[in-house]
Formats: sequence, C-alpha cells, structure tokens
Amino acid sequence: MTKNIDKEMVDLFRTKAELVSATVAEVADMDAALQYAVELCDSKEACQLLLSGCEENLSGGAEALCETIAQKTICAPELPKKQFDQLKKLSDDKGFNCIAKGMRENLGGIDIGFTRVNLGIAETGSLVLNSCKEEVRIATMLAEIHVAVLKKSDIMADAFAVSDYLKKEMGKEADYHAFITGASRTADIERVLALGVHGPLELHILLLEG
Amino acid sequence: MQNAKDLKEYREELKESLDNEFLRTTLDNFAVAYKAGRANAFKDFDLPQLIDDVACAKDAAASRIEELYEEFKKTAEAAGAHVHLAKDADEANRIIADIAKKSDCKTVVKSKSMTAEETLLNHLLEDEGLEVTETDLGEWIIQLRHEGPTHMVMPAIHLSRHQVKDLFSQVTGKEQQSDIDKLVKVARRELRRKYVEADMGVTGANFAIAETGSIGLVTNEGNARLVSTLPRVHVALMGLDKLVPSLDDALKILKVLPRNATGQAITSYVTWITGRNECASAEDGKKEMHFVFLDNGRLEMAKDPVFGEVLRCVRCGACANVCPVYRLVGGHKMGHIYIGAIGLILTYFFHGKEKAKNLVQNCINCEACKDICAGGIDLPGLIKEIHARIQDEDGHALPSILLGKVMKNRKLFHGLLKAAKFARPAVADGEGYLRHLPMMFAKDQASVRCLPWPTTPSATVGKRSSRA
Repeated sequence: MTKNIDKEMVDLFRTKAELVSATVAEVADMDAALQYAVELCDSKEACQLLLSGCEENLSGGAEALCETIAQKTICAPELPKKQFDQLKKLSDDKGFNCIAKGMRENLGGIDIGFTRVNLGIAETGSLVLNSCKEEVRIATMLAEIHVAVLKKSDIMADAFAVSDYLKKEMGKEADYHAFITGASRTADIERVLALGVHGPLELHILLLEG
Repeated sequence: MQNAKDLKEYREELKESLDNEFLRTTLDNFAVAYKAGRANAFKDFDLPQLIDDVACAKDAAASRIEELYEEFKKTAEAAGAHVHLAKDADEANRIIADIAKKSDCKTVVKSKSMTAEETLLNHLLEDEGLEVTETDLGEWIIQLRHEGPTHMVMPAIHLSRHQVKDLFSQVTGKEQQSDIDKLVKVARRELRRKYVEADMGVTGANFAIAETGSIGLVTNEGNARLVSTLPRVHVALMGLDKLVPSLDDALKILKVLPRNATGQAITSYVTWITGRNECASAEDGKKEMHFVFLDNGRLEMAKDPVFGEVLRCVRCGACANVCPVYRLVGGHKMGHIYIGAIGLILTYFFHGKEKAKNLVQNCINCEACKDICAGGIDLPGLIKEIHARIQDEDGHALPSILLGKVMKNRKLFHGLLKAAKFARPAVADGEGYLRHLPMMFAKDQASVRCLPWPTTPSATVGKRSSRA
C-alpha cells in the first residue's frame, strides 16, 4: 500500500513542533538522517566534554555519576542492523561511542538518542514512540538530544487518528507508548520555562520523504 | 494545609499571606498570563462542546465506576499486573508500604501524584524507613521544605528563585546561584542519581483505561517515564475517578486537560503503560507492576445526586487560576491538600468538616471557576451547599441567625432601616462616608468597612470629585 503525503498536514506538524521548540529538518533518506545525527553530536559543545548540569556545584553522589562519562556517546536502540552498522561506522570515524544497548551502564547520560518513531500527530506536533524496549525508553530520556526520524506519510491529523493503532498495541499483554512533544520542560520555578529538566534538552525531528 | 484552630486563627494566617508581596505579584502575573495562554490554546476549538464531551465521558464512567474497576482488574491481572483497591488513605498507604517490604525495596522515586498527596503517602513510607524522593521539580522543592503544594499543577508557585537557591545550597552542601536555568540543571543531576538508585517507582495516573488495563500519565518533565522505567517495581496510585472505559475517552479528556491547565496544546510527554514491561533490573526481566485504586469516599460520591459531578474533575487546577481569592492568598490558605474551588469541596469529602469549615467561607460566589471548569462542574453551587451543610451540623453563627430573621420579615427589615437613619450622625464622618460603624461582629475587618453615606447621591459624587 502506498501512502499519500498530505503536504498541509506535514506543514501543520512542522509548525506545531517548532512552536514547542523542536528542531525540524527534512532528510532525503536514512543515510542522510544518520549523517545528521553524527554531525550534530560532533558540533555539540565542542569545547566542553561535560554533560549538562555536571559543571554546576553538585553534591558528592551526583558528581560521582557525572564522572562515569568518558566519551561522546550515541545510542540507537532499535535500528535495523544495516543502518546501525552505518551509524557505528560514521561514529567511529569521529571517535564517538555508538551503542545499540547497554543504557543501564550509561545512566550518567549520553549525548544523542537516535530513534525512528512510529507516527506523528499534526495537531500538536507530537511523536508517537513505541517504547516497549527498555533501551528505547532510557536512551530517549537520558540523552541530551533526542533525534527522531519520522516518515512524512506517517503523520496523522490528531490523537484520535492514532487511536486505532494505539488500541491495538495497548491490547497486547505488555505495552509502553509515548506521545513526545518538544523537549523535557519545566516552569516550576517562578513559572520560567526551562528545557531539559530530566530528559532531552533538545528534540530534533527529521522528516523523511515517503 | 489547614491547621488553624478557629476562624480567628485562620484569618490571621490569611493576613500573613496578604502581606506576602512576592506571592501577590506572582499570582497576579500568573492570573493574567493564564487567561491569555488558555484563550490562545482553545482558539481553534468549540470549547463548550469540548467541555461537554469531558462532562459526558466522566459522568458515564462514574455511573458504572465499580464495573469499570472490575474490568480493569481482570484485564490488568491477566497481563500479570497486581490490582489493589483501598477503601481509604491509610489502607492505600499500607498496601504500598507492604509492597515495598515484600519486594525488599529501600529507596523510592515518585512522580507527581495528587492522590499520593491526598493519602500523605510519603509520611508513612518514611516512617517505615524508606527513602522517598519526589522527582517533579516543584514537588521535590516542597518536599525538601517539608510543605504541601500551593497549586495542583505548579506546586511551588509560591516560592522565589532565591528561596530555591538557598534550599539547593543546603541540599548540595555547596553555594548555588539564583539563576533558574542553573538551578534546574542542579536538580537534573541530583535527581538523576535518585532514579538510578531507586528500587521502587511510584506514579499517579491521569487515566485508567478499563478496556486494556492501561494507565495514561501526563507530564512535562518526563520524570514519570524515568520513574516507571528504571526501578524494578512500579506502583501507580490513583483515585477510582480516573477510570474510563476506553482510550477514546482518555483522548477526549487529554484534548482539554493541558490546554485548560497551562494553555499548552499537549504536555511534553504522555505515557501509556499496559502490563509488565521489560525491566532489566527486575529478577525475571519484567517490571513488577501494581495498580492501587483509592476509594476514600469516591464510590459513595458517584451515587450522590448533588455531588456526583465532582468526579468529573480532571485536576487541571484551572479553578484556582481564575479564583480572585486564590489570587490574593495562594494555595496554602485556599486549600488543604487539593487547592482552589475544587479543593474546598474535596477537602470536605476527603479530609473532613474540620479542615473545610473555614475554607468554604472563602468563596465569594463569583462563578469564575464554574465558567472555566474543564468538566463544567457547578463549583460555587456545590461550595454553597457544603457551607450550608456544615452550618446545619455545627449551628449557624448568631449574626447570621439574626440577619436571617430580619431578611425574612419585610416589615421588620424596613422598620430597622428607618430606625438606623437616626443613628447615622453618630457614625458618619462629614465627608460622605460612614467611618465609625460599630463593627462588633467583625472587629478584625473594621478598616475596610467604610461605606459611602447613602443620602443625596449627587452631593456625595460632587464631594468626591472635588476632593480628587
């Protein structure tokens, strides 16, 4: 079945996602998406190895967890082998650590969590991410930047349009799905918006043709 | 929290809040910003229709709440999860403490749950020797300060960055700066460690979907995702009123909840969890999953012809956002645990008459909350009803009994008015104001009770403008 791309829907998705400070870019194919992730990782805080928050005055225990971080790391927990190998090759060239699993050994944090997402919701600029695999959940929460690849044809109008898909998934014995809209945020101190309170500081959405 | 012994002590507490300039400015700014944000969030929608959808979905769920619970239980248990029903707060806390004991949990991380605030869960868990850490930034701040929330969505709205700075300096043992971004980063790293160490994660739930035995969690920070992922045990505590038949009902509510709460189209994270998910730190590689439902009067409320609609509440906090009294005194005085108009009502049902009797007198019946409520609840009407019930039980105050008698008797009323005319020279100040009223019934409020002299209106107006 070939799916049609509704240009208006894609534009709406883009507008809504950018409103909540997501970065939206178009990529021609998966190779370009992988390249994007590696370049992003490369450009990230070039003169600073520390993960966000580690430069602050922390208690002993919190500082110890910061010290477990040795090199820039990309985690792509659900990529098909061929794509993962390609990402790993690109990462190796730059001297980054590229992993598909083992997030529990990296709880101090990683630089980039890379996932393909299942669906998009245009009305709110949200991503629908199957997070049944624990590695996916941890990688997308403990990464400083979440890079998510979304096929344009997978963008739906609103949450009700994804409910058939979601109901089927939730009907399984175990299921964990997330709607993700922008980066992790808080306004708990004086109602001032701050990004990256627990999860990613940035969300990059790569719109894939097709 | 309401600990005032009597109305006099409560009024003194109110005065303290009124004198808190930071609080007043914050709440004023918030009240203005909220209205604009909300209007923008709903601008493309038929709002009355959306509110009606929520009201219908919640009413339909409440009418078969026990049936939905049985369905949820059956589905969730078939998926290997444990489902518990607690009749009151103590039982809910006991169930959770027992789960911790049985599964040998020592440390707990929590994401925000008003239901856990309602049961005062942390107190019992800490008494049992568990280390409990709130991970929602606002909740963590108030936990460290040993106080309750002042808003259902923004629990630490009453605090300044400087107060948070001092608090974080104490907690980390190192000097911090009053820069909000930096303070948030300190919380990020300090709390990260807590997730890593925790044996048990406790969350609330915004929705409990009977059809699939799933819960839905609505958060901005994403802490619920970590709380429900890293520890080997997950306990979700929620009121029975969170039950809905299917995902579609939850989506209807989700369409209104964040828009009405903060003016956001949706929160950063909405998480749907079913059954026992993959968890590497659990013995068999799967999460130990518990759903704890709290009754605490909800089943009885569902059957109540007057108060049944209270269960439509989706805990968006909007009724506080628009309340002129909340705006003046803040959540510690305009609520016990639940805040705002709905807080006055829930306090009476969940925490008893003693905690509610002073609070309900705050309502000035302006109906701003009724207009903004996501579920279309007649909040001022219900508050009035509770106020009347409390007075019927405790006896009415003498002035109110006397006034009641006067108002019922037309002849007496007019007679008293005529007689009062002769007393006027004694209390008037010669500038068109009654400044020396004998305030024997409200001594502590005398300073605000200066009324214009009700004589020739044109003379009064003339006098005032000549003074200006």
